[in-house]
Amino acid sequence: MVVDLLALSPEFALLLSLAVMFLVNRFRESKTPKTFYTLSKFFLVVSGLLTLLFFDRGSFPEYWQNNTYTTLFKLCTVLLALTWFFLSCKWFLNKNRSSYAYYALGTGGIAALMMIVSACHLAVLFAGMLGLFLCNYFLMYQNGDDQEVEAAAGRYLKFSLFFLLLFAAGMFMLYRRTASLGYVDVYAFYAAQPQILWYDVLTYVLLMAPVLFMIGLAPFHFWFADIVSVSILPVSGFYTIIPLFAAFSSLVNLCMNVFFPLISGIKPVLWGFAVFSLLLGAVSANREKNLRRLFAYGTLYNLGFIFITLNAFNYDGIAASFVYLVVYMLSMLGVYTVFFGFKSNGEYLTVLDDAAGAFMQKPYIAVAFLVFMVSLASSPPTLGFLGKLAAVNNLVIEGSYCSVAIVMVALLLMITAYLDVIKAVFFDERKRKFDRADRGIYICLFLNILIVLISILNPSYLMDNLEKLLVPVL
Amino acid sequence: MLNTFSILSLIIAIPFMGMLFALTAREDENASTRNIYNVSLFAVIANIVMIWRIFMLIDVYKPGFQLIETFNWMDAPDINITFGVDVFSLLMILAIHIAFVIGFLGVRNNLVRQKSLMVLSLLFLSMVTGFFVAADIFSFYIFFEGMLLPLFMLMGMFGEIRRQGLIHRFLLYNMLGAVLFFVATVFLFNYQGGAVKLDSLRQIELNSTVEYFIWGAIFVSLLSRIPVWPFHYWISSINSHIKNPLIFIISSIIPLTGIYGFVRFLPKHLPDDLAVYVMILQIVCVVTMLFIALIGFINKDRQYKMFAYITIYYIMYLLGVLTRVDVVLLNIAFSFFSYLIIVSALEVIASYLYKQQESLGVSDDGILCAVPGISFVYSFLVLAGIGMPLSSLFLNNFLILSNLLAENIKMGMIVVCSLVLVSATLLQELFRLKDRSRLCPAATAALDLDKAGLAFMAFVCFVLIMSFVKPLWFVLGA
Repeated sequence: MVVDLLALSPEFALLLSLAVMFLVNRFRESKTPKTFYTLSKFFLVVSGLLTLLFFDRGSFPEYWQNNTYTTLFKLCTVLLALTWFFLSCKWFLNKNRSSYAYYALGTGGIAALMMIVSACHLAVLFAGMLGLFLCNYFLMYQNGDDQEVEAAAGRYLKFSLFFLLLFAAGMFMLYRRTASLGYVDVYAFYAAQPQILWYDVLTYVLLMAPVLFMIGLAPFHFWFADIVSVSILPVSGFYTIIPLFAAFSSLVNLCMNVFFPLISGIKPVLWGFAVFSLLLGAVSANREKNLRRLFAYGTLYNLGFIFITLNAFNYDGIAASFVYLVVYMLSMLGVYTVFFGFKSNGEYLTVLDDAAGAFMQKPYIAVAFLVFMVSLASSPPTLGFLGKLAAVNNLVIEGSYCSVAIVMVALLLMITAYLDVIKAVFFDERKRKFDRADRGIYICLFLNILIVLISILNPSYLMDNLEKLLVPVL
Repeated sequence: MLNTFSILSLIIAIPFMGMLFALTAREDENASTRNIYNVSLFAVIANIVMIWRIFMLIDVYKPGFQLIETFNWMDAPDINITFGVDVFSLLMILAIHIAFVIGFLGVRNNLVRQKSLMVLSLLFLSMVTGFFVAADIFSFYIFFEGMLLPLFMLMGMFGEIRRQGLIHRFLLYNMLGAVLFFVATVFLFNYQGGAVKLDSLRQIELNSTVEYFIWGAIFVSLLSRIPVWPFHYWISSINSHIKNPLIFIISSIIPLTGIYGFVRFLPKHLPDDLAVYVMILQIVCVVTMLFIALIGFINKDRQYKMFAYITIYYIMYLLGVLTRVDVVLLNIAFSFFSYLIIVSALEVIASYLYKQQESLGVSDDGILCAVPGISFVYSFLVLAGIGMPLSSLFLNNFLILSNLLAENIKMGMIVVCSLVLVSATLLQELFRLKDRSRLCPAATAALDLDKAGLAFMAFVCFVLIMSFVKPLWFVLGA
């Protein structure tokens, strides 16, 4: 029992940080934006270390299970959160605004994500999603009383509740059929069924739709570009960078360890969603002049790429999509770091035209931006090429030639969108004076590019070693 | 890594290291900018020395790749990166490096964004060197696409191309080619169960369905680099806008990558299905050739005339490659060596004359009469460029043409006609520039090249003459 509870300590540490932050906010007088960053950093590091320590311990095995697979995704989430919180602190220092709510909600969101990763019971997954949606909703209000934000937040809340209700309905139907919500029991039940009923398919759809909504795959993507474009930069980045690893791991876990017997019937639908995401993301990005929306559609495109690769639902497919995901996250983290560097008169730039000629004044940041965009376009010699290679190689092995063709068309479309950004930043005349960028931003960019370089020269750790950690999900 | 001394990796790394130096250097005053220029030039010259050393290490008469270096890149999928050179690829690398040194001479007084120019040029040089030392299909693809980024940035930043659509189309054409190449590479990788070595590629036999797709994708991607209809538009549009000589030289190297791809990929024994398409390609080539030669002859724009010259020669080399005769391939390599040097030197001088003309505010008619040093070099280069016995173009073009005529007399005649037209174009331009009767009095104030510049150009002429005497004159004992 004690060991079971200790295995929950990474999540407890994060919840404890909420209480500590509340007390500090309530009783400490000399608090700065850095205070809450320091607290969240401390508890994130502790949580990460505890995750490593209890990497193979489960708490109440039918509800909560840790293994190398969950540990990998949890650590990825924690590392990304640490980086993003560090960068976000710059924003709060620049604006001289309280960071309490942001860090508290962010840390809460990460606790919910860890719950989602380790869940092996649908009720735990439901609780995790509920926590995440609520944190996301309240995070949006970091922008003050902006009407646009309020409208977007309202829409997000309504849709979140709707999808949570769907999930609850799915759980109810599933429980009636299998008398359990534990992953192992449900899998065993379906594996023993001679044929799958429409009832089972409906249940599966009700349970999967909220997970896809959480990930933001088309056609469940509508909330993403909406809230990313109106939120403040730390919150936009949080939505884009932090939840994806956990959501991906949860979806793979559900598909492989709960509904695998149903998967063959669902594959064409998921393939359709992936293709829709790819094309919609690439086409919409070309029409965008708002930088964050453009990259939000870029995210949609990349999600499509990941899911079209994952669609085989075998080890190679999961490994290839994981590699693509890692590559994509590193590049997107780099892009959002660059957004912190493009600041004029204290305001962070959001419109493409505002970034015109940035190369003239901020050459290093602009070059880093270029490297990350080329990586997102999957072009060699950047890291993005590894993702494309892993994904397309897997599609060819699977014989999905149609998918290869679609992916390549979408890639060309996406490149045209990135070309607009490159043209604005490098070729156009400068329209405004940029503020001095913080040294921390340069350090983050340098480290990110270093990882990119090391990974492309020696990709074995990514393509071979990390992939092996995914085995437990099979 | 199997080799203890990876000299081929080194010639990729040297320009890259030069680029890193240039990237971290400060660009504020003239001295720093000069420093960046000098280090970049040093990196290229150091690489030329290394390339010369490689010529000494290999047996220039031995077919197939030599000095093979293999690196295990990743295990899943199992990809080994292999580098290797033969005399063809090494000659190309050397010619490109010499072209770069000539290009650097053309931009030595340019202080505007010199750092970006040097950084991107060296990155491009590193990529293009990697492209020519690639000995397996994966590394070939990586460098094939990798060189596009610096190229695009150079065009966008220094090509003086203000029309966004043009620069977009330029990259998209090339990216389309790269994407097709990538898919074909992955197909081939899985079909053969591993990364295919380039020297065994021409012997591969595929079943007809796969064959159509793979060779189709590869050849379309390679053609996207060569100014053959319908891909000629972007090259002509881009080239006619470029004023910077180094950028012009770099853009002129791109078709070479397509032709080199044909050298490596065109199957030794053409399957019947594919032979039909090769014939169609030959027809398209000769029509494009004649068409561009005519336009070049009529057009008044000097840059377009230069583009016409470059294009005609590239298409002739492509037709030579399509004959699949080994001895012709070697002649193409020797011819390419002089051709690239001539094109680079002509462009640098043309750019110099254009600047003189602009600063004096006069027409360039007869301007060569005012600058005797340049006049001599320019005349020499034009005469060498049209195939007079002043460089390896003379004998090697003769051999290529005789093979083309032997293969198909009609095709050969059209090629000869096009060459005559484009030679007339260059001579007409030379005559205009040397016509004393049209020399404007103000143009007599035009400055000749300084001593160092003239000495360098004299050295270039010497290299060309030596290549006429013996194509591999610089290889001791060859």
